[in-house]
Amino acid sequence: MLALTLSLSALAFFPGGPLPQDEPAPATVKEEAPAPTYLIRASEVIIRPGESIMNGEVLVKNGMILAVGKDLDAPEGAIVVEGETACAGFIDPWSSLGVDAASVAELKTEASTKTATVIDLFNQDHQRVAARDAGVLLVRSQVGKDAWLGGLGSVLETSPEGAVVLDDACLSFTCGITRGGRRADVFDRIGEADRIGSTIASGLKYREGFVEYGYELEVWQKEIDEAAAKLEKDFKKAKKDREKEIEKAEEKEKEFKEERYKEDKRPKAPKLDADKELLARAAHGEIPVLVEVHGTRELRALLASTKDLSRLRLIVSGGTHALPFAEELAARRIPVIVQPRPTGAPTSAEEKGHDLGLAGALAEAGVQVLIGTGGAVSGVRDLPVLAQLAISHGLSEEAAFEALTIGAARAFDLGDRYGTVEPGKHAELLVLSGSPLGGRTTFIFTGGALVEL
Amino acid sequence: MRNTILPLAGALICLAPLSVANAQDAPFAISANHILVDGGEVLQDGIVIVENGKVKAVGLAADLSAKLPKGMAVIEHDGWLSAGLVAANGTMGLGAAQDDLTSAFTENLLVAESFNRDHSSVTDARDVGVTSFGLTTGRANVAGGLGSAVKTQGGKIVNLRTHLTLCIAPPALQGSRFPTSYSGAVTALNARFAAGVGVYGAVSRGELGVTIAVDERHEIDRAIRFAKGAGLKATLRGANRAGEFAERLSGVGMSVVMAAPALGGPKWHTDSIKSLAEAGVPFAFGLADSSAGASSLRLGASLAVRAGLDRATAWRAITSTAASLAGAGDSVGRLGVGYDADFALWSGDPLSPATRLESVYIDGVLITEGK
Repeated sequence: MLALTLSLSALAFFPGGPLPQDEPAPATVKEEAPAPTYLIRASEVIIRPGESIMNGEVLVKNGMILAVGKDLDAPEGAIVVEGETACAGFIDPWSSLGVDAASVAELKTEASTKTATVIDLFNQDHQRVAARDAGVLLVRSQVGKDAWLGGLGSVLETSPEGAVVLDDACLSFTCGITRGGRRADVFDRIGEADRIGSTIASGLKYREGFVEYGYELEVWQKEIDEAAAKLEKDFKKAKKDREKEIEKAEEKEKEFKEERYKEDKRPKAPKLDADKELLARAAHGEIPVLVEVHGTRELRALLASTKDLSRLRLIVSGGTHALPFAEELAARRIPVIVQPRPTGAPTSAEEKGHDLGLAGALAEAGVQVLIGTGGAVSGVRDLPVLAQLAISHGLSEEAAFEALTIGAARAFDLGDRYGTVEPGKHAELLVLSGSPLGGRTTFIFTGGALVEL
Repeated sequence: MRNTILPLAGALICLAPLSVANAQDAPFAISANHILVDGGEVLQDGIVIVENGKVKAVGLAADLSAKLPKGMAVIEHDGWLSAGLVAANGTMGLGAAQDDLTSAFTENLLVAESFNRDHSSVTDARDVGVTSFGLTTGRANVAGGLGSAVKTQGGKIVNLRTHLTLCIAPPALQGSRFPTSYSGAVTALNARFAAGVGVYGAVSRGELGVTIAVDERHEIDRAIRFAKGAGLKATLRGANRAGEFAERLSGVGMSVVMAAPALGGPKWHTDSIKSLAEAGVPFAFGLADSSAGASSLRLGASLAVRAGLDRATAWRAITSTAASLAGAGDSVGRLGVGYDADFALWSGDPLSPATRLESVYIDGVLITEGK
């Protein structure tokens, strides 16, 4: 496609004013180079977990996937990129990449605290590059990582020039974790879990208040309309009566007093509350609620306190002791973001008992397993390694790949844009030598650009 | 468990691991789909013959099967087999009493005397595939004592006196005792090596190894100058940034034992490792200066490979080079004829994080199944 653009340097000659009509326009007109078309050829194109095209091709332009298949008709001049495997880029659902350390450590965040407002595209460049080069192209980042109510998480691209692709990815809570080196006693930890349910439920009441207000407003308006119609109907008589009253007043040299109609009281609108509005969205399943929780007691209390919120879309992160609740988690379709770590690695108090086999066991029980790096900035690049650790202890390769791609995309309502290799989706793609998780990335398509490694 | 035992020319007999114990006193063989030998070479469909706790032969099954004595038990492993992992250093089994704090110079202290073979840190290491390690003191003394090479099973000492442990870093320079400064430590050590008495003389004559624990760049620089001045072929311990001094280290024939790269670790660590490899400086991964568990060895090697280190060097850093730097390179760390029959059976390539340890053999005896 050719586009004509006006040179910015020409505009600089005439700041703020029209061009003189008797002089030739100094603006230069240039042809913008057309966006390149890329043809990816790979021995295996993994469309989605469990579905591949051997010796397949993918056509990419303007950061979008145009076509996927075999022997595609590529336009003349298309840039051919070849590799062993092509697949969707990975997504880390549990990170703080792009957020400054103070905002990550903030404990006084609220529901309406938006991670997107503090994303710093010019910070942590080397970490972003490391993540991108490892194939992790999107992350869910979070302010108030350890706060009870951390606010709205964002999904952003890891590339240094990457953009926020979703600024309301989830509402984040934590429950029973160590904060500032201290862990609350068990009663307070269970209390935190209980309060999550009741706090989200308060969003329901908030929205009910608006629904009620809308209804009352409608009734009020109807009554007003009826009264206005009646007034219209009696208008001539009322006008004559008024004129008579004015005359009488003048005769008596008194001031005419207009008859004041008592207006029906207009229903009072509920007070706008940004936090409650978000809690309402969460309660109605418009955004997922992500809770980092590890202990058995806290998990039990959390599941109980949210049981009646039928539209709530809960995601558990951590879930160190989630296995006893696998049946309920599977039945309620609650995904669990696990953070596999090596045997013997240091853990926090709430993660004591960490088992590398958790991911595999949960998946075996029918729970949707996701894999995250746990919120540390520097660990994002290791996401594929964590997936491999989970595989070493029972998670199937397909489930691990799903966890890093379409599973994570779906969790944040991005499944229609990311996570698989399909026409119409964003071309956040990897070309690798070797398998998706164990191979080495050779080319990366992200944010409309091609990166060669 | 995917191992089975086959009498050489007999019918298939499926045996649980315990049954293998009967075969361990007698010569036996293990065949595996892949055998990873030193240098990173992989034998497809290989076999290892074990006799009296030693490796008697290693090769392709096609070559060796016909030479097996009739009736010899053959354990079939559907996966990979490799030498047991070796941590170039570690303080496992020492508990809290790693160092004698009464003096900065406890050079004659024999750390093996403090070794508790049944300590959970030893069995934890064994359960992730570590079969031997270089037992060393902590860093609290300028001259901490004499290290040993030990096994993670049965408290077997492979080599009682392997190296003298020095530390020219703040952990050894504290308190009211002499020395409290870098200069004091170097001066005191120079005097002792110049006198050449006792263990210092043994080190100077090359009869005993020497490690120098350091961390920061200036400490690495100082340690290189000290070792060069004293004529020591020392091994730097800690020194994760040693790669920045790779050419100098190579020039004076020094080696490095450092912590393995960790998840979320800095890029400069793997860059440092690659620089050492490029300069030909022998290096291996240890556990003495890392809070990570013993599983960090294999994971660290695989992270180094992901970062661009060649597989063979990474593998040696947790096996043969580690054994050499631990002072036991003649008997452990390789699947070589005459070496101890210490090996690990894996579900796949041990340099992949997706691989799980399935069993560990030490001196030809099945010890444990992996975690």
